[in-house]
Amino acid sequence: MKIQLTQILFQIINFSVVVGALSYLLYNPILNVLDERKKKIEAAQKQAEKIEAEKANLDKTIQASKKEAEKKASVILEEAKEAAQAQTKKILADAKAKASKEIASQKESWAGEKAAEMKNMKKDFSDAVMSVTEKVLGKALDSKAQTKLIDEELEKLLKSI
Amino acid sequence: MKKIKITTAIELTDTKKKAIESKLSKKVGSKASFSYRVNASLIGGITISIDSKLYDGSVKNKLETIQQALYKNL
Repeated sequence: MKIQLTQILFQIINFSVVVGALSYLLYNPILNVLDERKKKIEAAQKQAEKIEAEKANLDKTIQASKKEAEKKASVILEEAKEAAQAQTKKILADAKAKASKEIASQKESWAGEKAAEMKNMKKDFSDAVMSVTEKVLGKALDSKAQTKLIDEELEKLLKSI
Repeated sequence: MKKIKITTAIELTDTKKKAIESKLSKKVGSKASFSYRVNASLIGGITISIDSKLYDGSVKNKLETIQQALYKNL
């Protein structure tokens, strides 16, 4: 077989044209598209990473705020408990003091009433005794006793005149 | 002349009255006019009023004195 140089040359030129045409029309555009796609993917990845980092930051902030809020709530609750306990204590103490005062006042009042009642009873008793004594004496003194009494009293009165 | 009023729980006899008048006249040292009254509320004894001064020797007065003493001690 004889190698024909022109044929080879022609083939080479043909091949080059085809490769050139393909490169220009197909290969480069495809490469560009792939490149763009790669760039887009990279950009999207970067964006996703950025978002992920922001999310992690936000979570951290939320956790910290949550802890802070829980701490504050706990403090407020504790303070409220203490305040309630103190108030309860005060109310009880006030009620006790008021009750004691009322009891003392009532006792004093009763004592006063009792004393007044006793005084009245004694007075009534002495009045009754006097009344009975007057009646008994009035009946017991006959004219002889009366005369004797008059004489005795007269002698006493004469000494004082 | 002194005015003497005598009060008793019972009516006095004339003899008794004269005896009283005699004693009182000696005591006051001057002439006196006597008047008598009966007041059963005296219970017993005698009260003598010479002008405006009263000498109370009645049983009622004594009882009242006792009563006042009782009241004071209440």
